[in-house]
Parts: sequence; structure tokens; C-alpha cells
Amino acid sequence: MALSASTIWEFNASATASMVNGGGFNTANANFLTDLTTDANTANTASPVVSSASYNFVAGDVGAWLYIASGTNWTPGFYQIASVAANKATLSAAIGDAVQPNLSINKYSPSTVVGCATVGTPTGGTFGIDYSQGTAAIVNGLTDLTCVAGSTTVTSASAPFTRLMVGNIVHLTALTGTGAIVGWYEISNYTNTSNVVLDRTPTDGANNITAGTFYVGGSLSLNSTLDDDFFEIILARNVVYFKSGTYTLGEAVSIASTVATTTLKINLIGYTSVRGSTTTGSNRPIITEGTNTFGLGQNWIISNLIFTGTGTPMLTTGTNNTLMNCKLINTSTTAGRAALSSGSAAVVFNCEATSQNGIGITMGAFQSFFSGNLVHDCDIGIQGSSNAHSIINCIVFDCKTACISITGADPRLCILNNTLYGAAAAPVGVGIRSTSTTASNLYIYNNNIYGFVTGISIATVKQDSIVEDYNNFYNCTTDRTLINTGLNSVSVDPGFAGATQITGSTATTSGSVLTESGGDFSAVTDNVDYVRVVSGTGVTVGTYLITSHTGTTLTTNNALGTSSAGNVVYVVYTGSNYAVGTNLKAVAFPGVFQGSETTGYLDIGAVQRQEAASGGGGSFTFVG
Amino acid sequence: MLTFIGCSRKKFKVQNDLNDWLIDDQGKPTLPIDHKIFTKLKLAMPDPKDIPKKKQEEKIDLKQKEIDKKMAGG
Repeated sequence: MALSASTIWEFNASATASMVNGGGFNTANANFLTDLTTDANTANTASPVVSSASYNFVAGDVGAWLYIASGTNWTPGFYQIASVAANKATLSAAIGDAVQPNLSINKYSPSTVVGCATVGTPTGGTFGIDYSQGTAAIVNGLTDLTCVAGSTTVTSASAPFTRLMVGNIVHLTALTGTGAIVGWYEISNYTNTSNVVLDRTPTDGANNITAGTFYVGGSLSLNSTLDDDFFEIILARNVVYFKSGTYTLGEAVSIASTVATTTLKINLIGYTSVRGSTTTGSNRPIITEGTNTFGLGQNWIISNLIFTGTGTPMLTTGTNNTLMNCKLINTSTTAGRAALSSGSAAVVFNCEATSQNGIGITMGAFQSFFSGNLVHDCDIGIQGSSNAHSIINCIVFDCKTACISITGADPRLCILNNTLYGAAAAPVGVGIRSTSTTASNLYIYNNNIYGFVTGISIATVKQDSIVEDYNNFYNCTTDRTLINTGLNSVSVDPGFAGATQITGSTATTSGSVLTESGGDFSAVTDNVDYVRVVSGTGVTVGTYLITSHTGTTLTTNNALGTSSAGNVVYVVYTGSNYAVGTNLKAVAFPGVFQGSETTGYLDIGAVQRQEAASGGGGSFTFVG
Repeated sequence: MLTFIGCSRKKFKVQNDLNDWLIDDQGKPTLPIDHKIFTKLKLAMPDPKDIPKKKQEEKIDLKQKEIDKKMAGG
């Protein structure tokens, strides 16, 4: 046997340190008890009172989650144990308190119906207790584990086991015995208080284990030299939940395992209060990597997480990965580091990426889809060399060298409906560039290209297969090089609703503080806005996150260098509302659909206008 | 009494190959920061002696370099 595909893992920022805890629970364990019942007419209420003839609930179970696997009239899911009295447990089963499976895989979401069953007094429920969601192990670091060579039965003279530990993961952290194998094991069955059966033997088959330290249950912590070991053991279909909080990656993680498949993926999911809860903005769990790199395997889905670090690259996803609702921030002062290095055949949507002195997103070798992303304050926003990607409905702004940079000879790339923003006062960098002198197959439609030295820069001599049309070019020094002007492209003021910058040319710097005497930084939002230092005597040119400010000073996350000459040139992007005005209204491709009576009224760029409510005239009334 | 399990106190520094390497107390590179992947994939461990003397323009992909060497029978 081995760990199960149905195991759910749990990370908690307040968990016992050093990854010692078990951290997981197998919802498909075959040896759960089958005699769960409730007090009369409580099962379909917000506070069911459950009991079992085979198990007396105890005070130590409070806070753990009762898992109902199956049974007539029972509603499968996790229900937190709110209190215990007289050997019975009262559950939290109000709407939203429990988590129930919403798919045929391990993913869960908050309950929408009160109670743990569809009737008042069900019987014969199959159940277990998930101890993995507490911050401490239910058996916490006992040291008397023994095991006979080749056996899957482990023994503890302390008699700490209960039959409700079945399905929980036990972490054997230190074992005395030649060839003994530390690691995470499932308690697959219960023998008695001193003996449980694991999913596999922790011995080498030939030698006994004479002592061992072990932890049953409790969530995981990160920040350990076991971080890589843990992610390496995860199986296809496993789900790894991160509860809201801040985690530290203790070492570089680089997954060699290829167990996950296109149909049985591995999920990493952040959540706030209960699993499956809406998790956005700063509520998302934060994984701080430092210099460590986080390299995932193939066929993973990563959602609702924030990654920060300085690694190269910071996060690497494997083939067929999906990344959604994630934020990636690379704060390295070293040039060229990527926030995200995406694998091939990836889907990256609704994410935010920034790499102060590097690349926001590096595209993989082929066939990836990037949509609805915000990439900003980088040297290069999105970069790739290879084949058949699509970049659609993204906003990319304040990228010193280029918003989108294609280096390959045959990119077969579609760049559609994006808003690319350089700068208002002094055009900067390139909107879209192709650097290969033999490039072909590049299709650029419906992009709003604003404020660049060059809007589209192509290195190949003009080719039929490099096409731009239905784009808007405005405030660019040069709209395009080596590409024919699209018949339907326009040059109109997009009328952005709120794209604003603060610029200056007489600042001084000292350490991490930029001072503009007479300046007004009141519009700056700390830990959101960046300052791009363009030039100045003694200052280190680059992009910096603003961590605090006063009316005349900006404090940054990295040192600026010392410049007292009073000639530091800088720009701060304080407004990023790229909603457009009427000039771009309904001028995008496709317009009339061939062979139909349908006309599409798309606006150029990633952001469509909000129209007035019906009958509106004069000033706008925004619908909704 | 304190018991530390699985902790680490390591120093890192970007080298001329533009990768982060663990460094010893004298500041000399010893292992790439993601050294475990080389062991897992049964690749040769990159040698600090192979770090270029001059800072490179682009990062050297150490893993791919060792994969290419292995494929070439090196």
C-alpha cells in the first residue's frame, strides 16, 4: 500500500514549526466506524449532536473536524466539533460552517444547507475525525514508537491511539533502526490503544525500529528542510490547502515526481475561513520564498495564493499547470529574474505578476493561455520564445524595456485585446516587440497601445504572417516598425478613467528614501505602488516597491543608493484604472460576424466601457 | 531545553552564472540553491569550479546543462 490519492493536506501558519505534524487526512479510508447517529431530530439543525457506540468523544476532540464519509440520509463533508459532553459531540452545521464536496474530486466548499443530514435522526453513518486541521498534533512528539522488521503495525507503549485516528497521517520524524524510513504515513487501521496499522512499513524489511518520534494529525508549517520532501510525496488527486496567513519556504522546492496526470491533478488552494471560501486580495495565504525557488511538477492547479521572493525564477510551474487568482512578486535587485516561469500548455488567468528588475511572466515552450492577468512594474512584462501561446485580455503597464517581448523565430502567437501602458509624460520602452530577425506567425489584434517609444517593434523584414490590426496607438514616439499598418487600426486618445503618474526630476536619495522637496506623494498607496528610478547621479536605476511615504518622501523595499545632486528622475504609477472613454467604443474586431446578422461591439483593449443605464443621457449612470 | 528539527541556517549569493548558490563561511559557493533536484534526477551535482569567471549576460540553466551532459554520455 501507499499514501492515498484521496488524502487532503492542510497548512496553517500557526502550526507547530519545522513540518513535524502529520498534516493530512484520507477521506477514503476503508476502516472508518459505521455507527454514527445523532440525538433525536438534531441532524438537520445547525447543531447536530452525534454519538457512536464504538467511540466516546472526548474534550480533546473539540476543534477537530468530524468527517462524514457516507450513510443513508447523511450529507458527506467535514463538520467542526464545537463541544463535547457525555461522550457526544455537538457539531457546527450552520450554513457556511461545514465544508462539503462539490465535485467528484477532493475539493470542498462551504455548506449551503443547514445540518449534517437530510433527516432529523439518521443512523449508521460512516465517519472519522480529521485531526489535521488543528495547529498541534493530537499525538504530539512521543518518542516510543517501535516496529518489527517488515511489519506495518507500529507500537507505542504510551497507548496514545484511538480508533478515530484512522485516516489521519502520522509523521515519523526520527527513527532508531538500520534502514528505517522517516516520513509521512497513513494510519490505515486501528488495533488497540498501543498498536495501529500504517499504509506501509517504515522499516527496511530486515531491521526492527526500536524507538521513534511521531506526530499524529496537526497541520503543516513550511519553513523546514523537509519542505521539498513533503511536496515530492504528494500524489495525483491530492489537495493541499493553505489557510490564510504568512508562510516561509524553508528551502528550494523542485519537484521531480510526475505522478499527476491531465485528469488527476494536484491542487494547491488557499482559503480564508473554511475550505472553499472566497479568497481574494490580501486575504490570500502568502508564501514568502526569500531566495528559494519553488518549482512545481506537471499537472498542478494552483489557486488563491500570494508568492513573494527573489529567486530565479521565483515560481516555476510544470507542463499542464493552471495558475489562477494568484499574485507573484519578485523583489530581487538582480536583473532578469522572473516572478513566474510558466511551463508549457499552461493556463494563467486572473493573476498579478511583478518583478521589479526582471520579467513578470516567462512563457513556456508551447501552447499556453494567458488571460485576465495584470502584469506591472517589471523590466519586461511577459516574455517568451516559443510556440502557439495566446495573450488575451491582460493589462501590462510600467515595464521599462517591453510589455510583451517575443524572442523566438516561430512564435505562432496571438496577442488579443490587451491594454499595454507605457507612460503619459515620457514614453518608455516598447509595447510589443519581436526580436528574432526570422520571426513569423504573430497576430496582434484589438490592443490598446499607449505611451511607448515604439508601440510594436518587429525585427523581421515585413512578413504577411506578422499582422497587426484593430489596434489603437496613442502617445507613442513611433507607432510601429517593420510591420504594415492595420487597415482598421486607429490613433485616438483612449481617455483612460484613471491612469496617473507622479513624475519628478530633482529628487535626492539616501539609503531607501527618496526625497522630493516640494513634492506631493499623498496619492501613493504603500505596498501597492512602485517608483521607477530613471536616472540620477549615484542612484541605482530600477524599480522599487514603495513601503511607506510622507508628503515629500518615499521609502522603498530595496536600497536606492545615495544621490545628493538633486537630479534623480523618477516616476510613480499611482492610478491603474484603464477603463476607456468613447473614442475606442465598439471599434474592435470582429465587428460584423461573417455570414450572420450579428455585430460585435467590442472596445479595443482589455477593458470594456461601462455604459450608461438605459435611457441615460448627459452624465453617466453606471449600471450595477 | 530546546529541540530543533529540520531547521536550516544557510547563506546564499548570486554567482557569475546568475544562479543563487549556497555559500560557506568564507563566501565561496558550494551548492546550487536547488541542489536536491540534481540528486532526485540522478544528475551530476554542478561544480562551483565551473562557474564562469566573468558575469554572464543570461542565466545558465544548470539543470538543463547537466541533463544535456548526461544525454551526451558525459
